Amino acid sequence: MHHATATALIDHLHAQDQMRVQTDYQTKSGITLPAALNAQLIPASRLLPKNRTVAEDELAAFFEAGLPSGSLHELRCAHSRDAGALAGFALTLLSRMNTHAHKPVLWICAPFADTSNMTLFPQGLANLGVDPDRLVIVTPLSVKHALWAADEAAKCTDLAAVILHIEGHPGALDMTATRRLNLRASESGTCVIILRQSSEEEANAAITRWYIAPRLSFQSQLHDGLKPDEGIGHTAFSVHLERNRQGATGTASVTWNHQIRGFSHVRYEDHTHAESPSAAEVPQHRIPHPANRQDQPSDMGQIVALPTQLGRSG
Amino acid sequence: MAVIASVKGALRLSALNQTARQAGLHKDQTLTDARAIVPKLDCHEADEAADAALLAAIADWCERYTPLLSIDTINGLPGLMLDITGCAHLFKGEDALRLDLISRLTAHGFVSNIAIAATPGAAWGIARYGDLDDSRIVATRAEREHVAPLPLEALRMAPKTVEELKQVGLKTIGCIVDLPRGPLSLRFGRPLLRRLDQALGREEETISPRMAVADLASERQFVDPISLQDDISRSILSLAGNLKPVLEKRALGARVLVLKLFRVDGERRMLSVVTANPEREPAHIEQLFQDRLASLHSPLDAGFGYDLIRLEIATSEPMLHQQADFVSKAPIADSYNALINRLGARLGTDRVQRFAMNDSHIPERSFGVLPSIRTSTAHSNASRTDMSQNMRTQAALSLADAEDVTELDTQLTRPILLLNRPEPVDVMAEIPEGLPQRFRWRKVLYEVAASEGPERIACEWWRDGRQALTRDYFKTEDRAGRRFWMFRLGLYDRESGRPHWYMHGLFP
Repeated sequence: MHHATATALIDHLHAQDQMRVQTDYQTKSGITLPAALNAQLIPASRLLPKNRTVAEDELAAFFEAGLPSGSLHELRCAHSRDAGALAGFALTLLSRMNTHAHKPVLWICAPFADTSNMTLFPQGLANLGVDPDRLVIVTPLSVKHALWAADEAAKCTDLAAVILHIEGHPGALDMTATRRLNLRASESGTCVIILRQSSEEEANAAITRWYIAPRLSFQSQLHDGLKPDEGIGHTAFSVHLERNRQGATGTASVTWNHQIRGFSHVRYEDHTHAESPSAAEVPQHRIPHPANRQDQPSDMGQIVALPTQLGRSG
Repeated sequence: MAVIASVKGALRLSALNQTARQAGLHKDQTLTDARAIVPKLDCHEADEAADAALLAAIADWCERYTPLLSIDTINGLPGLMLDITGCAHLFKGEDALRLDLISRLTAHGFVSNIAIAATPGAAWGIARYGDLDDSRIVATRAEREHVAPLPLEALRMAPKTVEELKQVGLKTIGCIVDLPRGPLSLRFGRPLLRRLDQALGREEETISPRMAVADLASERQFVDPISLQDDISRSILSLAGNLKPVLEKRALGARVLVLKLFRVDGERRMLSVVTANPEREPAHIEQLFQDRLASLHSPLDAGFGYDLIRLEIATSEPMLHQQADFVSKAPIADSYNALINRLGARLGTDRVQRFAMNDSHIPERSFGVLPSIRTSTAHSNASRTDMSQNMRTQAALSLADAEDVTELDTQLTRPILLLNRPEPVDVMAEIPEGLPQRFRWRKVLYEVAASEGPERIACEWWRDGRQALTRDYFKTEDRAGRRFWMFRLGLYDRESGRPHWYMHGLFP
């Protein structure tokens, strides 16, 4: 449904190349972007290349409207030092979800094994466009309590999002737990996001799984008036949508434009050149899984039936 | 057997048991004398802290009778004072209450003297100095005849006054009751008369209870003690159901609820729950206590069972009755409030926090966290504090700047993650005030691709002293695109010889 709507709109824009779109834009998850906000968006003719693919439509929808509510999503990054990019991208997606702008956000910080003693900085949040007064920070003493808190919060209908910030692959957050979170999120209509720091790819029940990496900032003379090598440009991320239950996957490098509080300069990349380490190092048929897990997912691939020899000796 | 303590420079006996008293020893006898009389005297060191703790435990358990009780240790004689006005009928009369208390204390191995009277003074005196054969329950306005035969120590006066009265020849209370009051107070002081009046009921005396007395409480006694978790939950549900109509009538809701569980064998356990908003619903209250029980480190040890469970409302707030709509299920903020209550009950109220702004320009001091349950609850309509108003006007201002002037940097100037303590970094930079070029943080080397700065944040000399150092903050980006916020502590020439660099935060 929504691909048709997106395509129609984009064609309309290409045809007229207008700077402003007057009508409301319906996105995939049913969220309506009001026309006034559309007026501030960088025109789509500069947002998407002319010959775009389905993956690009998909990603564009996410960048414009944020993550759809009523489901579980996972964002991960490879190292703890990329935590800024991870949390930042999550918050920027959150700030794009306009329909829940007045509702609180629950941020559950599971205790980390190492001494990454980082807290959210409310002035930075306000700088990014997220009201720090909306945030409720929960700091339980164990991962088990953090998962319990996430389960309870997923049942709540008054939250804009529940963010579970964990590190690595705790044994308690397995396929059953993620399926339960997804179910609860769909019943209550809350958006549940798992932020996984320093992790590898793992199979779970999230609707979308993202891999976020920081990217050298995009410096453009057109927008900043800065020459290259002079200061830091707009915040840039390298985003790889690893899995999407309801659409296609893709990779993009996006820039967060602080002036308009939106994404811009999206450059889509081919899937084979993705930056996700798992794609490069690990053969395609196997998803690496953590070692401390009881229910290890089986190898994905072909099961070849071996011919059995009926018991005949000699 | 005796307990010895060092008094006035010599080891003396401070407490004796019955056999020691029968053998001829008495209190405050020196240990050497006592040993001379009874060579095989069993002596134990006096341990005041343990004695006080034991008395406190007994007081905790005696709360089953009444919440108004106090420990008094006047003149070194430990005891408890319970105000049982209006409670006696729950135990089928004062006599039955007294027998119940005596039997329980005796079962624990304590020897106790209990007296019930209309005034604390009379009860104190009769309990300690009264005749053992007498009935220990004194009716109202009959104190005079019961108190008269008691010695003067029963009036809780200083020993010096008692000595003086004895020298004059007054030995019992009956002697001084009828004396003219003017000369008595002149000679021996006003406290004597006050104590006398208190004992006889002419002057009011109230006891100050050990713990704050709850506004409302509902309790249930069990003939057959219960110990199962399910039974406890069900009794909490019914007790909360008893309290709900009273709360509704007074238009109150409970904020702090305390559950007291009294064990058969004398221990008492207390659990408290704090809610973010006034609560009345029994189901919610029971759920909160279940979460609280689940959060205990070790499960409740019921021993032989609980025979009294009391639910008290320690703090309550006005709460208007909410009209439930036929169409919608619940008021809109209900789900969020219930979630915050549950998280607070299970994880602890200090683990569910919100930001609060401080008036400081040092980044790590410019904000704090407050427990969510203490601040105002609703997110949509409630009034916000002034500080968060400042926060939002600041954010609004920065946006306004962005719209006006596009040439000035409208970049992100503050990181979103801040390290709790700035971590030292090895930086290679030009001196005196050059940008960093390469740095090593947490044993990883980073090459700087671009950087911005410095942003100078000076010290707070009124807090840290005049010697505190200035910070020059730089936003640096490495070759992979990670953006850091680090600062150099101290100006090169003016403040310190060799300034150090620290990492403070991460940008998105």
